[in-house]
Amino acid sequence: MDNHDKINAIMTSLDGMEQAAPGPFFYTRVRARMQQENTTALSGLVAFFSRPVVAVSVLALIFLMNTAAFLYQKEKNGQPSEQAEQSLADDYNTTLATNSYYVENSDPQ
Amino acid sequence: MDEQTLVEKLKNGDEEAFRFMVTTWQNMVYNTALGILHHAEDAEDVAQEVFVQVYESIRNFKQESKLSTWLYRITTSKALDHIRKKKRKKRFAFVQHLFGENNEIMVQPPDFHHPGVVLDNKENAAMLFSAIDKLPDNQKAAFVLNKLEGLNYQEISEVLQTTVSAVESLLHRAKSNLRRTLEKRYQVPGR
Repeated sequence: MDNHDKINAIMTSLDGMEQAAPGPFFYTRVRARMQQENTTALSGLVAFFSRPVVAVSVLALIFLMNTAAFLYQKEKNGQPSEQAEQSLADDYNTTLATNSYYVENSDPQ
Repeated sequence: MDEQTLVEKLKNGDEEAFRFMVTTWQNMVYNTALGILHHAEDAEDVAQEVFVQVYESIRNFKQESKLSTWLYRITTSKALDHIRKKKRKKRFAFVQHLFGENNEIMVQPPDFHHPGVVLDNKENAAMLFSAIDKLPDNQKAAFVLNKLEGLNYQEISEVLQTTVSAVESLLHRAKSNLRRTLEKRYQVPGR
């Protein structure tokens, strides 16, 4: 056989070949891999938030957001209620102290 | 089950539909990966990755192509990525070896024997697979899809998202390159 024939034989060596198949229980292995990847992703997330720098930063962020929300709420609720108290006091021709007295001496039930 | 129904079921997370898809296309995916990677364990690994990705991204599948075409596309891209990663690792290991940080002996992988090749052709096929290893990525993918999976030019163009004439050109260059590699490497005394 000369070079040319040899090369031709090599080039046609895949003719008539059959499809290769993975080992048995391939589907089971795919499902196992999916579960493993889910677990890995979850444990990765837990590990990330367990890092001291991340944990402290998240806590600080939560604290700041709470403080901001509290101050915003206080400001928002504080002004109208003072106005309301004042207008109520004007309506009843009395002072705010009277209202306080009323609140302090009201029946708790 | 027709493809439209299957895709709808897959999008709804139907486990039976997923099992059906895996068992229907596992050989096709594995054989394509094996043809590109020439390593049974790596091919199994990539085939598993392909189905995991399909499960996760089926909602993005717009059915502009057949499901099998989409599977071929994911498989070729993942298999070629796998080769690139392996090459990077090899280069890194080689540098470590040069600097004496890694004392492992670098060994050439043995000849690859595809289980589907007829016995008489085993030796020649191993030579051809060794030459396929040297092809550029897109030529390798086109050649494997054509020779191992029997896809025609139109189908290959859909998988590789290119034109039919580009596929013709890819396959022509692939065959020329293979011949050149074989002529250089396997000069047999003759004439």
